[in-house]
Amino acid sequence: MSIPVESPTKPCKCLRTKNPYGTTPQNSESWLPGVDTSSSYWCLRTMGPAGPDDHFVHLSRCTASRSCYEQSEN
Amino acid sequence: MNSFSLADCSTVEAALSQLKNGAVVKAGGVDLLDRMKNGTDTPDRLVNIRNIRELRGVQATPDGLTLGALTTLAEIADHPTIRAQYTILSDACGRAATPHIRNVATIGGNVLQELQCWYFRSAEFQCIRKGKDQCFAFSGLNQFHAIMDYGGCPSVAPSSGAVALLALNATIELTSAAKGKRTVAIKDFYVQPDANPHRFNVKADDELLTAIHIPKTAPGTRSAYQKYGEKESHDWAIADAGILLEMDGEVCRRAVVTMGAASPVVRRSTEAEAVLTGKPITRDTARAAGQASMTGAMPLSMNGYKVQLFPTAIYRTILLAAGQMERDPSAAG
Amino acid sequence: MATHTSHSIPDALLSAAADTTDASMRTATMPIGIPGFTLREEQRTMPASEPPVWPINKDLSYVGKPQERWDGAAKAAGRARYTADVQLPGMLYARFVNSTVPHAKVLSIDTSAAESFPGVKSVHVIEKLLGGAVLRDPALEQNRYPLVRYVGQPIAAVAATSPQAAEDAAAKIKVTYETLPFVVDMNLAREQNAPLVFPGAADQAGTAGGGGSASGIPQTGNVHGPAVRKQGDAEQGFKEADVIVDAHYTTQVQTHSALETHGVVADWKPDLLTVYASTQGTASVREELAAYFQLPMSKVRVITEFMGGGFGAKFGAGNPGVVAATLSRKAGAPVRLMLDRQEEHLSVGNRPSSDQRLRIGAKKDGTITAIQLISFGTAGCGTGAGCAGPASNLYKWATLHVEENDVFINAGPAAAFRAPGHPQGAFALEQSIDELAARLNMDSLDLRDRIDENPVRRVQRQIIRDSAIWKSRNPRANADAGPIKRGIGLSQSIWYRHLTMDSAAEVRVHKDGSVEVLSAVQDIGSGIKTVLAQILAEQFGVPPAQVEVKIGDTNYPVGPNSGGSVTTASLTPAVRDAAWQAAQKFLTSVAPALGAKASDLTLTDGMVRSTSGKFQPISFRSAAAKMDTNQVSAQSKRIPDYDPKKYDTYGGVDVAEVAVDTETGRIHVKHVLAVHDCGRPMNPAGVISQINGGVIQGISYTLFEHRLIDPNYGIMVNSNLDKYKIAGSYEVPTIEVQLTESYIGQSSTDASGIGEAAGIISAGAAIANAFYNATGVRIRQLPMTPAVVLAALNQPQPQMEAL
Repeated sequence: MSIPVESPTKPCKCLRTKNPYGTTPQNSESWLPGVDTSSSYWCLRTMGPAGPDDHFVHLSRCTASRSCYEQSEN
Repeated sequence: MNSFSLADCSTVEAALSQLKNGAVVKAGGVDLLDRMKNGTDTPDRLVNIRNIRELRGVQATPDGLTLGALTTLAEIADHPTIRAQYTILSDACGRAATPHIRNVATIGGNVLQELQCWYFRSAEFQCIRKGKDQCFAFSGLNQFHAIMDYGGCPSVAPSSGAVALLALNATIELTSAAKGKRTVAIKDFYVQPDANPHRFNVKADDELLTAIHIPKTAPGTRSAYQKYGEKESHDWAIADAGILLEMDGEVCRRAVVTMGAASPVVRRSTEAEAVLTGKPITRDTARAAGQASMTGAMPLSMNGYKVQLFPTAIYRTILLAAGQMERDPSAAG
Repeated sequence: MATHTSHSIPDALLSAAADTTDASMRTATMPIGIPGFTLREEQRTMPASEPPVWPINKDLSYVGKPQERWDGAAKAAGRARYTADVQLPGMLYARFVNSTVPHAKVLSIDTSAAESFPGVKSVHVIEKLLGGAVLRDPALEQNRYPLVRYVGQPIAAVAATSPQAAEDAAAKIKVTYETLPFVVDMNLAREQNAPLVFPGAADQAGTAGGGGSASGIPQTGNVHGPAVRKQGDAEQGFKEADVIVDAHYTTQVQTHSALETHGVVADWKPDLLTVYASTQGTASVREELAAYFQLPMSKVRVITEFMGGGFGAKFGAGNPGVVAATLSRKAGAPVRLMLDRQEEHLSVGNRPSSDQRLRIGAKKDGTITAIQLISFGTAGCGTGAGCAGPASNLYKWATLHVEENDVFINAGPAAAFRAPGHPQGAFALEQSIDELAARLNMDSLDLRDRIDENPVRRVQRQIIRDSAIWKSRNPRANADAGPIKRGIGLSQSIWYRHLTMDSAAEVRVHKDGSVEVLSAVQDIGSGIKTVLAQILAEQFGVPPAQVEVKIGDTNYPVGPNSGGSVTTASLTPAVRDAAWQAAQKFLTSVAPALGAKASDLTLTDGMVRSTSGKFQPISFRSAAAKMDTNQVSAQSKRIPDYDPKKYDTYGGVDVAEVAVDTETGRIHVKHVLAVHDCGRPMNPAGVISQINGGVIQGISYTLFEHRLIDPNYGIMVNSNLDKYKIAGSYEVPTIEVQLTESYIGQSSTDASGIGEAAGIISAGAAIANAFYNATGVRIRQLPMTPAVVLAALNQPQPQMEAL
């Protein structure tokens, strides 16, 4: 099964995980969102692990291809 | 929890007159309020008997002991006569739940508490004990359930007090406005699930458990109770043992072996008792009695370990009762 | 990418650091290493505005000395006001309506009976909010309500004038479900025809026109993964190995079970939304509420005066936050929404389970040629079950192959939980390393000396070697006759130096000599209030109890969210810098009255001194009376670490002594020696307290805690604190903590955190290794209940490890 690979886009602005509630100008790549497989994600719209489209929320999934995607302003 | 009205009574008569139309007795409230919070019990009316002074206290009688129904587990556990002559009872009451609970939980409530099966305690599961025709434990999560004599409901007897009272041959005093007092031997007090799955005991709705009588123990009696859980602080029994030995010097004249966490109703193991009767208590006879206690065990899908655990609980408690072993650090309390 | 795998530093950061080498910088000598072992000095370059370098703890007055909790008396006396204690005029009480089925489409929700119920002021039904401008595929929006994916999922909420009215009204909301097939067992969920928690990847691609993942993580059925990381050729590494340890480990789902449940009091006013929250991040709650309701950040205020535990699960506003705020807005009154214990178990987080196949290949001398970890775990209907951190980062390896998989089931989503992934990973890794040592006929400490490059843990292992408990260990397994067998084992742990630059504080000095510190940071129980008081005490020479600490309010300068052990490392340098700058302003303010130049004045040990000897030293308080204004203040924020090229990890080594009752299957943990590192311990009493808690939580995880879901109905059967078993007082062993005071020269306080590394990571493997030492049997399954222990002991043992 081949999965179409999308051009990398910024994840949906509603994607949340514990990690981005900090900024890290140094050192710890794993502290950035999404490179950490022990990260739990939630959607700001639903406050749950599924987005408004009922699909699961993950850095790898909350891309522009989703119907509920919202582009971040910056 | 549903809304309810509370009738606060200070005499037995007043309480009895309130016991109608589905009113439910509240003493310490430990078990009842749990069930109401779970939504499994929704009584409209509670009759508070906690302030009935005459129901509280331990009385020595020429024939033995009378426990007022409202005597707390802590009071029983600390009572010098009970500790000396009815050790099995102070053991059982002194190791139930937590110190906080023992300070409010009454012996009457302990004996009357309902099953701890997690399906029974969940409002989501309408089981055979709630008037439906299904048990969820057989094909579900049954690691803490019964291994013997379970018929259609493998929940285990929750009262450790009853394990001791059965060994002591206690009788339960029930009082009602209509019929006055009657007594029931504790061995006949509980109802086997197959006899009537909707009743746990023979107490009628208009009856109040007012006292528990315990006959004098025979000379040479030694007794002990131990409860085993997954942990020692505040846990339900996964195995327990009540042991009463009537000794003639080195030889055991009569033995009583009781268990709670093996079956829906507290039970005696006549097989284990037979091993001990007429013999000296040794490590070997104790272990043999423990093994014999599992005669007829039919563990469920997840609780086979209990068949290994009970013989240990029993042999260690026999040795504790006989004064040949210290209290077990693996037992609660 | 796997967990915490790369120690490389993004180039941009390095160059940014290099850019700051200019005239505004100075160089200073800092203590580095561990006093008594490796203490030395190194040069560091730092902004010239930084305060003087602190000596090691023994040469300080308040910092580094055990201090009682700044707010301990208030907590003990019941004066501390937690979220549930907040009472506002006209406050309403809210209650959720939660799903009773594990997987369903909600067909209808009838709220009419609830809305007309006496006392009810507002009702809110959670509906889908499609924020996107255009719905690409309208077929996706088949339903007004979110799909139900687990029992306990919030569906609606009611606010009423009393808790009873809210509960009774909530019970009157009728939800009609179209139930769907569900799966709650991870192994069943992995099977080919398992009910799908989420539509599969192919399905998603077909409807949403994509679904491919940015980081290339596939999805097959309920399995999201593997997330693969390969370094070198692991198969070749195994070929070169003299010994391969190959083992399978499983761990259970643990719920956070903080004493204080999740909850908020929300007060929606037209000009300001004020939310009292039980949170680990006032900043995170504000950010989410502002984003959710599209309010300016300045219109949201979050307050967390006291907090009763979070362990990682209390970030952001969550459903309680947005629902309470919505109810408050609708009702025009403040709303309290606190979860009950059952909701706490079901819907606000848990530690994912794990199923790990771990292979380690090594040369005869212990050199690791390959580590391979294939893991599956379930984070319920969420993700985050990776557990490769320890296997990837604790030891030196030649090749690494990690594959981590999330398996969806119909259960509540996981949340970060004290050292995410690490207790699971260390349970496997540290047992396999012990097994490897035995197979190589090496002492387990010697093997770790060979393969662990961390200099602090090397010292910690030496402390272990020299300890009475380790010396009493019989290296021969199963040495005791009789049913009770004693054993001693150890495990290591690792955590990482994470920082949050959004860490700021203001320090004020008043003319009456009182000093205060203000920051939005919240004290989640780990004691940051006390530490902040100590920093000001050290600067101004007043006892910590006399320092006013005002935190937990977003009206104050931004504070870090407390997760990942960042709080102390991030915030304390900012506070010290602010205190230092406030002190300089203070000296400037008093200089005219003292007839001296500010540059001639110092404030040390609570005395203002003239360097030139112009006057006798006077006390800080008397000097303050001479201030030329009523108040001076300084605000400072965290600056980057002095040496950004250094990447530091933390950890510890824990030893457990157990008595295994082989007839009852009970493991009694008798004694734990916990040797840990958190940089400069600011308040050793607080650090030890956190380690005590971590050890107890670790024991509880190892032996007791277990979320149990009925496989046939999808309902958690032990969603209480009665049958969900947590260690109690009898289960707490003697805990002996030794802190390795370790200086790294990175900030003005050189402090770090301890929350994650504090024992929960290593407890499982330390107990399991002790169990092996006691019995000669490996136990590779958590929790180690009597059933599990007896089953393990009953198994014929295929091979006894050597030693």
